[in-house]
Amino acid sequence: MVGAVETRKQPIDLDFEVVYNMHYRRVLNLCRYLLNSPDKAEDAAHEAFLRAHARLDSYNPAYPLSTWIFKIASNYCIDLLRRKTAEKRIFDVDAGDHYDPPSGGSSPLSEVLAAERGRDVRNALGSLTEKYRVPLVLAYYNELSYEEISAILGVERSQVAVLIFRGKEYLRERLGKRLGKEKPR
Amino acid sequence: MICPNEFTCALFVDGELQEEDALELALHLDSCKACDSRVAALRAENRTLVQCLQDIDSDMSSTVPEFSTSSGRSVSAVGFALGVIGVAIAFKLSTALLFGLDLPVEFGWLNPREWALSLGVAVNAVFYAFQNADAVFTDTTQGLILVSFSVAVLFGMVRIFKRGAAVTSILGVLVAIGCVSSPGYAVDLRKGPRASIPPTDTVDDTVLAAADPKAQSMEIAGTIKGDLIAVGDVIVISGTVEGNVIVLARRVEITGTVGGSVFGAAHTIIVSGQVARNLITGTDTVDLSRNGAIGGNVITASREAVIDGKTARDLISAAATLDLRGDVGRNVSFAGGQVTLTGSSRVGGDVGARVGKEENLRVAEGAVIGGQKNVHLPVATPRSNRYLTVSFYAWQVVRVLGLFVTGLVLFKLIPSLMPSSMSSGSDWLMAGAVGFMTFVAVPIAAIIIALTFIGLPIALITFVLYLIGCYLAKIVIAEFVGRSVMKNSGVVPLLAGLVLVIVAVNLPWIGTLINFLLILLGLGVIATTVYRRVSHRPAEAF
Repeated sequence: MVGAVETRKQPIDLDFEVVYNMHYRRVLNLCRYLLNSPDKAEDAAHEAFLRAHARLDSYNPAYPLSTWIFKIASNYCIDLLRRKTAEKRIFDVDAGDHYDPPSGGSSPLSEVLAAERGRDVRNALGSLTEKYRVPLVLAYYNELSYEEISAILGVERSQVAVLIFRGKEYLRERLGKRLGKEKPR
Repeated sequence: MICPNEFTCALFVDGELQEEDALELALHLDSCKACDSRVAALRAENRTLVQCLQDIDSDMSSTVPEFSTSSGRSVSAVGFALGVIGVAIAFKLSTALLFGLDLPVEFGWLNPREWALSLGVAVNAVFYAFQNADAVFTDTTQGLILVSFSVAVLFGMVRIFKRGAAVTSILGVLVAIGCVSSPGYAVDLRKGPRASIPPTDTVDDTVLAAADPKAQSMEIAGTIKGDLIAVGDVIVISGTVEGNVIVLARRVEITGTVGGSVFGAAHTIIVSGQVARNLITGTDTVDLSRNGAIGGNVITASREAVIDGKTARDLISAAATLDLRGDVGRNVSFAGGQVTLTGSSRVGGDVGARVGKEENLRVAEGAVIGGQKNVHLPVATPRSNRYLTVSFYAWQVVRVLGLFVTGLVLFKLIPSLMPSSMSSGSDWLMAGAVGFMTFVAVPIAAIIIALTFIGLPIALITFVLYLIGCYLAKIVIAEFVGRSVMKNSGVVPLLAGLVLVIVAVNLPWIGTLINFLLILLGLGVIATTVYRRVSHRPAEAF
């Protein structure tokens, strides 16, 4: 936002309107997943593009522009989530999160998902706490590597692995329960 | 190789396993059907998850709103500007309405129009603040210190223990109470008929007393070991209060003994008893009777002051008329209409009078003045309207330019100070609250630090930073206002914002209040930004 008070050089041939129209929906969806609120997501998406616009000179054309904008949006949303709670270390792995051998109780999602629709998965995802929701969204919606996620969340790569693994377990549990209820019908 | 657990399989599927481990696992899958099917299932799970989550991207039904480089919150910015002005007007109107209404008779004394000099509570507050930095300072700042200390402890504990807000809050409050509290007095709340304390009664606590509206007067005839804070129509203190007395009433009579100081806002205050420390009043009439004695200073803002009793230290009075008939141990300072020292009066030190005419200081024959007699006459400079002077506008231009240059440097160095994330009214409310805390807590913290010898330089640095923060606060807000109004960011909006802010703070009548509110909001934004920078790695650092 230094641009507010200085003249900047803008990358040549970059029409921001086009970039915006091309990526807006995807950024909005990302914000929806991360924030779990359509209203806040709209504000966040707008803010992400404002930040991108103001920081265009820091964009490295060697990487895809979309990745750069998604990163800004993710960072902004995570900042919002951090601000929401007094506890800044929301993505820290605590004692209950360390990996223990599988109980064999939960089966991979694919089995469960055979009878489920995407909307149910999204609803189940929305019901997870941000601690597990955010890493899952970054990994499977944004398709970021553990390394990239750890950089965004500011936690160790090994912790990201545990959060994603646990997150998927919780997701299975929630979808499984719903299926269990619906089966008798 | 033994069969890997599900966690390892998941890492393998996500492509996050170390290369050699991945290779080993891949070889194992060739020979183990169970693991192979598990990995296949996990892979399918990932695919499904990606597909389900990305499914919504194919929904093109929603329209893409037009992109604008404005913060998109011009409405809230206008709302903010209107809010600031609205609060200022509402504040002014509500006070006018409140005091203009027909209040119950016991609150009649609150009406500043009944006070000849319209001195009101504000003057009283000023005198509180300028009183000797002893007991008064301690009393009035104790509460603020407690709150500030609690907040400081709270932040400290959040940083140290990194626990949830609820746990930290409880711990923080417990620690703050444990550190600050002393074996002091509890509070005894008395209302209505119980408010009066009969001669035989002794109360060990601090008493908060509100008089029975039906009763004519409230009498404190017994003994109070703590402080007395009383509100009523007529309050008579004929007993003993060992602590301080704080009274808000139409008429206050003190015939008994007060161990501390008396702070009074009333129409009439008559003291014929003993006050061990200071008498500080904002009244229409204050009368220290012949038998009355004040162990410390008398500080009074009133229409009429009659000091017949004994004042051990200074007498400081702003009044239309002051009649000094008794003894004053040290100096007499007077500002107002007319001061008369009768033949029976004795002043140990100097007599200084800020009066309109030389003859308004009358010293009768027989009056004794230990020091000098000084009359300060008003300097004969015609009071011009500042808005009609060129220097005023020249100064404001210099002010805007100064702020502008500072703003350019500031945002170049710390761009995150631009309050771009202030999306709602609650954000501004939060900024205001944080700003208020900063505004109050920082000077107090600086004073506390200064009390230790080693802390003095730190206190000075803190205080300088505080003053710089107050200066920068308006720039931060001006940048936001400019950006919102011009729907663009840059040099011109910053300048425009500054011009608007400077015009607003120079508005007659409400300018001062707007200035104060803007400083609070700006300080809030600055404090929050600094806190975030200190507390965690900013998420947008890339």
